[in-house]
Amino acid sequence: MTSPLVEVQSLSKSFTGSGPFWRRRDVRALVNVDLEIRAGETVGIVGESGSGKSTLLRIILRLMRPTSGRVLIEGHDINLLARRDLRLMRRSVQAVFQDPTASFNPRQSIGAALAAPLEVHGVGNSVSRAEKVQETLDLVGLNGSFVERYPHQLSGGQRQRASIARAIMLRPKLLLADEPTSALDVSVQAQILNLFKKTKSELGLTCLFVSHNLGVIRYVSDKVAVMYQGQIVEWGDSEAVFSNPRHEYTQTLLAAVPEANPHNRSKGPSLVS
Amino acid sequence: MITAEQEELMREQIRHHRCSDRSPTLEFDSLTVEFKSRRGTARVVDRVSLQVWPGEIVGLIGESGSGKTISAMSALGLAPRGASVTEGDVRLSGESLISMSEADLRKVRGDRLSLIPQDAMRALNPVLRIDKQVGEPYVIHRGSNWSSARSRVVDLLADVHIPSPADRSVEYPHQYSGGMQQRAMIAMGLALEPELLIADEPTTALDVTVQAQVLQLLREIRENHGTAILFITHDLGVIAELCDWVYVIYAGAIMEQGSVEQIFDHPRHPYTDALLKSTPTVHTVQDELMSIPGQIPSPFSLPSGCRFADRCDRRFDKCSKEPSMHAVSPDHMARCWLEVGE
Repeated sequence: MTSPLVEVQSLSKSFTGSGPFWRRRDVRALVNVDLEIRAGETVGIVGESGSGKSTLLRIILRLMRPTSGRVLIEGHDINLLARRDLRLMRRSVQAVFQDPTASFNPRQSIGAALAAPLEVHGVGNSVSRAEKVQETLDLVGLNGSFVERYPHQLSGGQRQRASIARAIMLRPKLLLADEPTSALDVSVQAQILNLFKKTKSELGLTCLFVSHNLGVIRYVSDKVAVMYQGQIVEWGDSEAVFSNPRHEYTQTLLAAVPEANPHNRSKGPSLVS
Repeated sequence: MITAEQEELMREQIRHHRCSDRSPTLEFDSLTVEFKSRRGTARVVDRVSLQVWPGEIVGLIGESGSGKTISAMSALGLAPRGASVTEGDVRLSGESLISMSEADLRKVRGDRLSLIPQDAMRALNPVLRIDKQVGEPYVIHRGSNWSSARSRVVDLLADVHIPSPADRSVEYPHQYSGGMQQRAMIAMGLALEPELLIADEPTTALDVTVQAQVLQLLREIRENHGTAILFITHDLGVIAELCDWVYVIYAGAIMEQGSVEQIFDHPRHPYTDALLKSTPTVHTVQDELMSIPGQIPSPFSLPSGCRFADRCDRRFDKCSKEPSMHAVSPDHMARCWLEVGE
């Protein structure tokens, strides 16, 4: 087997707590996390709020530095990269975020926003960039007229399509997605999830998909990491984790998800917390 | 296919099924809410009729922009500025809320019906202690003094399973976790044992394990107090878990209604069917999610025919005219031409 595209090795991250210094305690957001993502896989990270899933993603994106531990992408420690190599790394790692309204510049047309990554990395000339924008819009199911439009003229689903388009403009190797559908309605969510799967297989991407929605994670992922209080408590093939959860927390989490089947109502959890 | 007489019989059975001898706790009778703006008139709630019977938990499910929240807020007389009820009525145990004066409405709200909002953190006042907020209904509606109100708050907080309620009651909202804040809101809503609770997405902001606790709490409330609950949500799973009867709302209109078993086992409206098939589930394997093309029509320019027709994969020539609600079985109705015989 090939070596993994991403290796996370005993990664920890602490934040300084709030309050007066004598009462201040560090918040341990990640505690000794190990993770491997092989080329072509979609790894889903699932957990409740505060479990550290977004922190992990931000460290892999190098938006944040870990307190200890390493992240290797194609064998290189991303926190030790020289400036030039870091630029190359950024080309091959792209992200889609939760709120497409917040991640687009309201005064920039969609065409300009999509061309920006190409300009920043000095790819092609203006003609070839325009072609690439068209081609990518096509790929995500938006027609050419969107080049001229501004973010506020798009619906939530269209905006999320545009942000996927922007993320794949540079044809990255690794695509990270942080709750990309949690701001969307179910009918639109399904469009975006299907687009995500389709894009992934057409471009041969490797994906890391973070969500609190277990159904979404089951649908998109090949492998799943369940996070709880900064640790990965269960890791395995998606099917195995969902059909035969081994860790107590995973079992609790799965049992808590309401099932769209009125004949299978849960007996009700304990209310003592 | 069903004949007109059979259908009338089924409507009668539906009324009977939901205890027709008494009046419903909450009834929307062809409620219509419109916004006027420079762009014209937007009909966000279009002749919505629904009932919540005593002791029943009724789900109102719809996507964003479907009009589910605005219809509930209009019922409480809390519709945002610019919205007006142009047609229809809302009745609480037979008494019209729409024609009620603001002063009378204030007496009803918090006493005979309460609202549990989506975001408890924003609904609670950050600078007041929990006991001061949860106890307010006793002081305002029952004229009790603060010291007796406070002792009842402790009982209420115990009812909603807040640990060591006496100590926690003198804390401030930010000292509570999200789930506890929501439980405090529910405690406040329950203070005067209202006939009706309107819960507007009360679990959407919560983690699933906490959501499960809140849903269990609502079930207990219904069992112990017989409170009727109108539960507004966009989450099909929560509806299946909790509700007895379901209304599916789309672009301001009810598209399908029925017992929760009928809606989930035999969805008859293509919209409901598509919603079920487009929801990723945890408990089963799905090869491909069905996606509904397009988006909800703008309330400024609703189509003249069926409002789902543009996105429906089963549309045919009749769909250019607006269908009405048709009974498909004694506990099930759908607004679709597919249900109409020749």
